[in-house]
Amino acid sequence: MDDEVHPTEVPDLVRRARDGDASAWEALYRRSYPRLLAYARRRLPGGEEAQDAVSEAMVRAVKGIHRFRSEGAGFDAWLYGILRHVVLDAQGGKRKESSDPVPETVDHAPLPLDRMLHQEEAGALRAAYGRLGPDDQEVLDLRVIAGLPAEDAARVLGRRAGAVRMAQSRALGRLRSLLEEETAGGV
Amino acid sequence: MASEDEDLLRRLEHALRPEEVEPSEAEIAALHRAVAEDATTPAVRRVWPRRALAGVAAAAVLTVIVSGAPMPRPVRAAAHALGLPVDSVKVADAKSAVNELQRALDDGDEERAARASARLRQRLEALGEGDRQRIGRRSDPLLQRAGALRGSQPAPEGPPPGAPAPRGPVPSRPPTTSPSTNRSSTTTSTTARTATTRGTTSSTSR
Repeated sequence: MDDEVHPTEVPDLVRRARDGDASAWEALYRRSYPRLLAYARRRLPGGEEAQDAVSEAMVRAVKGIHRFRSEGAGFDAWLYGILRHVVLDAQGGKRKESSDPVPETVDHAPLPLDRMLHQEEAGALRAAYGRLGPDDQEVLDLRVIAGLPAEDAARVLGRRAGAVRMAQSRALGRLRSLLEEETAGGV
Repeated sequence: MASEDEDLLRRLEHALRPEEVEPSEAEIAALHRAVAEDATTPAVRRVWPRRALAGVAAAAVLTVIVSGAPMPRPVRAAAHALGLPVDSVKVADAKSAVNELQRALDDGDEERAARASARLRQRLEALGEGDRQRIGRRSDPLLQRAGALRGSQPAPEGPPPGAPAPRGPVPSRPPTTSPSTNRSSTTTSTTARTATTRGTTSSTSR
């Protein structure tokens, strides 16, 4: 899980993983898993296919760790680059978005009023986000779901950081318009 | 990034926050298997191929440099790109043309000198300013000598160094100026002029 490994510990874990330390690999896997799975689920319908993609990406990472260079983009960007290719392979080279709606964060606890309002807003945001085009979603997925900085997202997409920032700004502009439509529609 | 963009990103992050999930036992087991399999791959095989290839390539280039043998163009291009102390292909070509012209002039062979002059001019044009000046110190006197050699023949006047060679048929006449042209005949002079213009744009052909 994200909180179990502090970001400053990642370089050391990567160094140990490079030396074949299975426990370091496991720690990296557990740390990245929720975001990797959420990213894969956005692109592959059905939970199993997304899980398989994440598992395959990790196996490829193990085999390719000797090609990873820590300078430049970080380990996460490298990992998402691998996962992106695995997902594209699973899609048969065609880009398509999951037909599933954007999943909600599951929470069965009773909701106070302010939390309920937040949940409503989150629902409207998810609905608006689901209506964005695939290019917009891909940029925002890397920034928001994967949590990558613009430079690392650019590395994953094979673009320049400035181009990614521009694309992100345009995507957010479109999202804002869609969100207004969603809220005006009484969501 | 505009603050409204930052705000929307934060809200989006909250709305799309990933579920707190962990990999299954099967997934962890698959990872451990991959790590174990990778550990059985000898590290030497993973790391050495590129380094070994680069080392072998550098050794081969150095061997050629030390032996003084002519270096194939691809090897020279690769060595130059690697930063080894060899001339670029263009500089090497220009130097080769200078040597060729020198030999032709030493032999007093007007036809060869004319061909070599034309080739040398072409290769000088392909060089950057610095290389051209550096090689020009040696090539300019040779081109002048070649021009004088040609000028002593039926052509009305010899071109200045670096200028295009004379074009078109020229009536033959006896040698007049340079003593170095005494061995040339009018027949070879015409052939030489034709060869000299090879590689330059002929105004008559336009």
